Amino acid sequence: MIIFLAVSLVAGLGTAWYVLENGNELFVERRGPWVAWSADGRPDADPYTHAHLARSGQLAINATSARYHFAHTDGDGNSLDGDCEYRIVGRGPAGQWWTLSAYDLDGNLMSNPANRYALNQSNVMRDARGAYVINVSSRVQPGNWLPIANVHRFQLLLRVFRPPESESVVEGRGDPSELPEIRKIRCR
Amino acid sequence: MKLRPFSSWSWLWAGAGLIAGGVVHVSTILALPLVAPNDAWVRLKSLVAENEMVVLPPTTAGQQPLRFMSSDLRYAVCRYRLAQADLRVRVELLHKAWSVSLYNRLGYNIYTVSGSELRRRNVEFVISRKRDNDVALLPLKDKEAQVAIRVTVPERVGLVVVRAPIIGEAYRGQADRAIKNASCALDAPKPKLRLPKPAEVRLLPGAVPLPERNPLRDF
Repeated sequence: MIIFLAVSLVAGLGTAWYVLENGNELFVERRGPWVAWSADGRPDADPYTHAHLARSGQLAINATSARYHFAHTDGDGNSLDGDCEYRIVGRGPAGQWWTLSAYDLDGNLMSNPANRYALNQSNVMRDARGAYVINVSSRVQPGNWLPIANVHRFQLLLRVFRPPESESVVEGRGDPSELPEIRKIRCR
Repeated sequence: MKLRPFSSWSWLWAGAGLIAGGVVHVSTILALPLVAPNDAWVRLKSLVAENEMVVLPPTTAGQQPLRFMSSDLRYAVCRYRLAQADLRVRVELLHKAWSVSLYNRLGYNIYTVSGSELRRRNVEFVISRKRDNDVALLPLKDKEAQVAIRVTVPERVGLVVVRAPIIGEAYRGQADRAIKNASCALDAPKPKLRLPKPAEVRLLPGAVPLPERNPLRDF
């Protein structure tokens, strides 16, 4: 009986947690470290997307109107750590407008002395070729600085309003190069 | 200590556990949206009165009523509770990226329209409850249809969220003014259809009154 209970709980709850935490190729679209739930916000979405939405506690706009790309890891697959510094390098994403924010694992903004919580398409500084570099760090950085707190783990959210490639992304034809890279620079 | 090998009964229990695990998995996934504590409608209760559009304060680390809100966006929220009357929402979408979204109680996005999809800045929504005779109710009067978008919803309560991305600091003042003008209010209740009392019914000349006993029924 103990074996029965242990197996059923571990298998049932464990797999549910795993799918909601990491997504599944059936429900999410991965582009490098960025993960977006394809049917986010839609009332006719699959039960896993609904469960993910309830667990995250966010009010999402449907994927055609806006796209929410989450990153919990850097480009090498290591968890984002508040004790490390990261560099986000890119030109895009394409879309009407985008904004990048850093949150703790509960989805809360992290307090910082600069009172800055996001960088967006309008205020990010670019070079002559249109590329940008965003420094994500708890220490003051030159240029585009997105401050974070000294937390064990954090996450990034890149919101893209009216992504032009909505349909092609849903069909798995999106161009991964449109989303910026996340590179770890150093850790303390 | 010597480990006892699994007996055939143990394997049987483990197999049954795996099958039960599948049931636990499916139940957990299906139950999560229904048992998630403090959905957005409840969490905004202390900030937003019912059927009233409220502009939320700028989002910061200490001022974030919902998870994953952005400091680059201004939000206006209306927690609606439909009664007999329709809900009328008026918004000025100042930029193509501004949007108005309608959510049900579970936080599912029923409807979203952004500035880029409309040919006009000022937009008006009429939100009404889905009824059995919905098809008959759907068309608005011609004049009203030119300015208002009718959305029918299956549930009595929900949220209207206006998202206003701040496209540059110079734009903030104009954006603040526009979002403060957003409104959300119940229409005046429609007068109920009053059936005439029997005494008020007058027979037309030549009409034959119905017999009190119906010969087809009371045989």
